[in-house]
Amino acid sequence: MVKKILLLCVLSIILLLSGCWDSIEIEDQFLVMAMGWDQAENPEQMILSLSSPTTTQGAPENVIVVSVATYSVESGLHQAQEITYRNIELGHLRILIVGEEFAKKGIQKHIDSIGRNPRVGRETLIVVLEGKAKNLWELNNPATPRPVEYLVQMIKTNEKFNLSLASTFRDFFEDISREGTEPVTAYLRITEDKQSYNSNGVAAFCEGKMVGTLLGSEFQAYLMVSGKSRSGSITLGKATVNPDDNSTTFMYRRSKTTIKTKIVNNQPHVSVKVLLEGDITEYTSTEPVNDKTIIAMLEKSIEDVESSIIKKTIQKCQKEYKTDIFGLGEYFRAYHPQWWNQHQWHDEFPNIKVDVEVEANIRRIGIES
Amino acid sequence: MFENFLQKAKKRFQPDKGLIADTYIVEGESCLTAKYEDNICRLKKVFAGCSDVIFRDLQMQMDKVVSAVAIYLDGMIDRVTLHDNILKSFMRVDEHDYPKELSPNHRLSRVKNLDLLVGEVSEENDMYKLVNAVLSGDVVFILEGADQALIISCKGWKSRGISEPATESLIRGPREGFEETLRSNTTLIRRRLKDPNLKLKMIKVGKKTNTDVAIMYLQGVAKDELVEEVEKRLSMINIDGVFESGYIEEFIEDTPYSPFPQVVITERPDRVAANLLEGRVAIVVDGTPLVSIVPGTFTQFLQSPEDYYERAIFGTAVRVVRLISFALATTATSLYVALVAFHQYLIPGEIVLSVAETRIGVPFPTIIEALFMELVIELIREASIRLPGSIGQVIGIVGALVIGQSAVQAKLASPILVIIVAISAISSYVVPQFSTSYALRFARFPMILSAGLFGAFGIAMVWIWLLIHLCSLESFGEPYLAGLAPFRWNDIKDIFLRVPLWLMSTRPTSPKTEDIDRMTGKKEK
Repeated sequence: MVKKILLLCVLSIILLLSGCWDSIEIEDQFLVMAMGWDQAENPEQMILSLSSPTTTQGAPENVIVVSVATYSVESGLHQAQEITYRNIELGHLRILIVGEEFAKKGIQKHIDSIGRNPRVGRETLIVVLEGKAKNLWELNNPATPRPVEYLVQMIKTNEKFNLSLASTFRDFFEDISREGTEPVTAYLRITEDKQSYNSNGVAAFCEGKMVGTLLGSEFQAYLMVSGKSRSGSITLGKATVNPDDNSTTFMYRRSKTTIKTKIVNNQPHVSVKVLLEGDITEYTSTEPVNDKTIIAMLEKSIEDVESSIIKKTIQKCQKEYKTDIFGLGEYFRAYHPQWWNQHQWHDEFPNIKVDVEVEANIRRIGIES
Repeated sequence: MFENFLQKAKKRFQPDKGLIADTYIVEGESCLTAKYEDNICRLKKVFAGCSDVIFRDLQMQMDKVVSAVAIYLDGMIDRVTLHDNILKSFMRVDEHDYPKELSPNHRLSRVKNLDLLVGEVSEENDMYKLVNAVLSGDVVFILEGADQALIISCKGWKSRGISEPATESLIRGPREGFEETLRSNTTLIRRRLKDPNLKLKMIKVGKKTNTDVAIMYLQGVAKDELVEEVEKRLSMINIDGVFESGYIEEFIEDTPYSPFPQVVITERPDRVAANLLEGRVAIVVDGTPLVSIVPGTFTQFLQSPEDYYERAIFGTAVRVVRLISFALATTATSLYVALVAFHQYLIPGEIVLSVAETRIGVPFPTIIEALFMELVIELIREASIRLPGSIGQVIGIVGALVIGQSAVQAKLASPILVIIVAISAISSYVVPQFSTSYALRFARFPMILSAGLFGAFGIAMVWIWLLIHLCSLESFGEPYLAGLAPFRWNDIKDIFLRVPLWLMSTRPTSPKTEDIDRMTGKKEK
């Protein structure tokens, strides 16, 4: 019995040893919600910015931003800790913002530290911001005191309508590690009134460097080819059905992409087939739309417009950016492994032949017509 | 099957130094003799100083005038029966029934057979048994010259009466609960099981209290070894007084130091009857409205009689709720401590800021804060039990509003923690067995401590310890987690689920039964 009591005493003393306490209370954490990467004045350095909400009530600012000039992310975090009052915690990182200038120089080596950190969630967004990343904190939006929250919510909401791409670390790392595809990130442009951002675009990367952007309808075309499309609208504009001043909008609620590949005479061919299904949500012509021929005509013009956009977009990536962000290479790697092993996809991609076929189905034309 | 118990229980069962009756001294022979004056004198000595023991002297006109005495304990007998059926028949004996030259013992049996208007009468000559009979509310009748006496059953005292069970009230189900009288309790059970196989064995426990304890079981369903073991353990109990079934429980439990009760306690006769049908044994103790059922297994504590009275779907749904509440009651607070003090990255991004905001300004580490609030909850609980009924409500208001809200406003606790502590407190009362909710609340404190020291790893450690402990427990030869470990498909239908009654064609495999078939129709096939 005496032994047992002694053992209990010793055990309880062990609990009090300060070495065991690696707990850090939540209020002592500098909860980094957003991280920004910018080019520093020294071409070899980067500016690492960390933003965290001030959780103290009555603090003069809602967000604290700590910025340091550094050679690498990890050393930057140490430097930032030197000038931060709380423990820097990356567990709640919501978004990584890369300035365009810096992205063009290449982020592959910097992203390594993020990839190794077990605390950083794989669902964290990664975006490229037009201009500098630090612009984000200058956002003067009346809706929220926390620009990061605003941005993350905007990207996630608009993703449903093909107006933004929630590109996460998971996607980015997967695309980097695959041989037949290259990563993209969302590309944000600041609006003129400096109140918000336009997220309707992607930044295309090649070997860790940003090489260009796809905006607006090209962005939608990218989503369709890569199979990430959800629902969106295509406005046909003037002179498609009737040469009068009319505009027609087709809102597709379902889209399906089929990609088939073949090798003819050692020349890779890709055929992209996009199926769009949706409604007419706008049709300002005086002609009645409840006519089979008109609907067929509308479908035809939607198909023509969209397939030409898709062709143009793929061509842009082939000739101008020379990067396969659509992941077409993965199909060759899967279905033509022999050909794949004999060729360098990066060199082949600009020269492959691509056929695009769009099939549009109008299901509803609206209540009044 | 039961050897473990004896090895573990050596300390609890000190060798008995003598018979229960030794506690009072009867001078001379322990049997009655033919000397009437001597008998009376000895009994009067035993009851010297007991002013509530009445010696009623009688003169009876038989073949000659015979002296007699009726001894009873005032307050323990039914006066109407005593006056109308016993004393009246003694005083109006028909002398023609008594021919001349009868021996005193013949006279006694004639009184018993011809005159006495009472159902339960027996002849006895052992002094100890006579004294016991008087003490338990019977009338002892001693006739001049006879070396036998009559024990006339005439028990009757003020009892609380059958009322709704306070700790196990149901929406749907019988409203009858046990009361403090043993006979009335066994009757309540008997009324639900009209079967001659429902056996009832009586045993007396407690040297001074001489408490009646009844062992009830269904012969042919309950294992004979189980019944024997219960009898053996009860007979080994050596204590001066028993006032509640808890006394008995402590002696017969396999592992007395475990926080988990290994005996089911209930106030409901329907619950006892259902358990007897599963092959368990009920122990009814005089003087308490709580009946113990053995063996008690963990899964029983998640079951309520209402599960069977309501529709099967809802019975199942309620069981799921109980399981969730079990998890919440043990782990909710410690999970909060671990998340806030160690694993902030596991808190969803949407609420992490509000958690952090509420923690700003709270002077204590989360673990102290959590222990403090848990202590407050325990204080409120304990106080509301002790306070008289009408003030008990006040404590609820004081506790909820004043302490909860003020503690938050004074920045002694964060509001989220108050919510979590309240949820886990409520969850611990969802468990239908009250004694189990003690165990759940007991498990909470080491869980919070180790969560505060080691984070989620600490919670895992305590849970592993808890599971190992539960697995190692045994109750009367049955594994405590029977049905889950060892796992039995057959029993799952009444543990996590409550399948329709017509699908429960067999009794649970635990406890082991003599007859696994519940439905006789199937047995004939």
